[in-house]
Amino acid sequence: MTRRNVAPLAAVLLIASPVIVGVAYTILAALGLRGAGASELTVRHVAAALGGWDTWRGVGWTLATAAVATAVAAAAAFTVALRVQQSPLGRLLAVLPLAVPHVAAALAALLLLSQSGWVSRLTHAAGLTPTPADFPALVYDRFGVSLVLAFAWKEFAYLVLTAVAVLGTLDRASDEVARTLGASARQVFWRITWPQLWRGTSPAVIAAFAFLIGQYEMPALLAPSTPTALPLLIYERSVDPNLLRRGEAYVVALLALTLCAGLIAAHGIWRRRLPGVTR
Amino acid sequence: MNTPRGLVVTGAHVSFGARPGLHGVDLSVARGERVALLGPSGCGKTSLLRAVAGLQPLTSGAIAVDGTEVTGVLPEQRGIVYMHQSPSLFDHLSVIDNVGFPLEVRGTPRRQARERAAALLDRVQLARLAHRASDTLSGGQRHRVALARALAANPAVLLLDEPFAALDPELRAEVRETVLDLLGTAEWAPAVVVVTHDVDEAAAMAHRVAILLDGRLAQVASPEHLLNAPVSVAVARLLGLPNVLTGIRAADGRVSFALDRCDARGAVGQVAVVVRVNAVRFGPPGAGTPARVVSVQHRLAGTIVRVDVAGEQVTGIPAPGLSLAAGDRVGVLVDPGAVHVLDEALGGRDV
Repeated sequence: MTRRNVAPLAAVLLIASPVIVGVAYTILAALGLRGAGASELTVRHVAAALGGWDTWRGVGWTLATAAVATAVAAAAAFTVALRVQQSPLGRLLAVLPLAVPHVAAALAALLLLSQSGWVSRLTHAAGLTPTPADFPALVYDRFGVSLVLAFAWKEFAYLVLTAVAVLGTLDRASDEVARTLGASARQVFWRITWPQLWRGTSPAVIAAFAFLIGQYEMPALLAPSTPTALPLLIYERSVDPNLLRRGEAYVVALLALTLCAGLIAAHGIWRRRLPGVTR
Repeated sequence: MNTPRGLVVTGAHVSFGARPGLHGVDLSVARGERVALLGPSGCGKTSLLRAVAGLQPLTSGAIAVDGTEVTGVLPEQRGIVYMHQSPSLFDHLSVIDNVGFPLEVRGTPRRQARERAAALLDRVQLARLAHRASDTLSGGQRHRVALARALAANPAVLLLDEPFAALDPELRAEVRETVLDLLGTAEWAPAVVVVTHDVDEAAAMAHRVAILLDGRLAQVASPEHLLNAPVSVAVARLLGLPNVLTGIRAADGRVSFALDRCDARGAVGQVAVVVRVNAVRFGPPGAGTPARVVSVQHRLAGTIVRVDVAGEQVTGIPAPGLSLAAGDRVGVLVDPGAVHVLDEALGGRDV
């Protein structure tokens, strides 16, 4: 290691230290060596957390809602970015949701989409439902419709911002050359623009997905109690009156961390195998 | 009746809002022929190429390829390939997939497209790099891949927009040789239009040179004819011909200029006289029109000398064995067959 590398590495270590310390503490607590009820090295918390059906249902439900929300947000973001990239006003409007806190977005979704919310009242007023309560249950429902929509709305803005930046770096001359080489406008999009857009934005899409796996406020306000989303599961376990169960919270937290790390690693491997990706 | 094979542009007008771009350009390029499009920046060279490729709509006029009008046809259906100044490789594809791209989008099975691409890469001496990412190639290699890709499309017309401008001089010569080698192959005989700013490059690459000035074709001729007989002072100046001199035509048709007199019928009055550099020889004083050496430049191709003759600067070459320096007195001899008279006065200069 050269002296030139020492300072940046020290800065990165300083920034990463809370995460490193947190992960180390979480591992120790999951193994019964730290935290409430800590006594001796044990895999009791691990077995209890991973042996429980609730945990795996929560994992599945969390991954599914995060995946659907990310896919919806990405599809909408790419579509919008391709249309507003030349329009400063369009870009501004598209990224406005970035300024809204997640908890505010969740509250807005609650006000709009619950069975006593604005949309249910409007549909009733329009004669589409006999009473507001006949509006379909979109909040606390087992499919997490309002949660997915709220997630997607928030991540949409972030992905639009990223997609517009990536589109700005693409060589538009390539599109023209491709046309004269015999590609139709549709072929140019799918063979030239889309692969480059996806490569440029995929790290942001993965980041959005990983973020949603750990997002707490929105599931707290919009998700059903069963299956229980991973962040809620962690919180419930961590405040369990039975101190012996609190260790399970650390196991579930490590599980969520492992899922995210695995996803990021898989993405990294995929990118390294692509031709033409600057590594 | 034979339909013309190649590119035919008829009365091409292009305007950008109120700003005119091209004014009624007529240009024909036969299959296997290379025409260089030469002109100053902003004269409409790229607009013409883009209009021909279908990337820029014509305000009026027509474009035909191999006898078929393609004016309103989509770019991908014209049989015309447009190469930008930059190679514009698809950096998310490998080298071989870049070259196979035109074939794959036309429905050629991937395996066949790759075989054809590999053969083309072999022609540009890049077969060993077929599976590399295209963004790992050097500038010269990228240009050669772009050329192989263009030829994979088997175009009827190939448009090269300043193809070597981004290359250093050594690479430029190398890539130009590769281009000429490939285009010279009978198997591929597209009509080629090359945009360039470089007169030497135009002369080296093209069978004919088209001079575009202010959106109008001023002259289309072989390089030799163009350099010997430009149609106007503007063309002569664009070509960088140094000896554009002031002359006076008398009633008997004799034109007098600083170096000599010659016969050239036309209207009496001021004219411009163009003399090729290699037609002007400097010898010892007394051997011709007296002059004084202003500067001497030693170049790879030989020594170029600039002299002052009665207030006009003339460039030429010294007689064999004669060593000259600034301030020397010399005699100027001119080959009368290399004098070209233009019926226009030089702007802002008196006789």
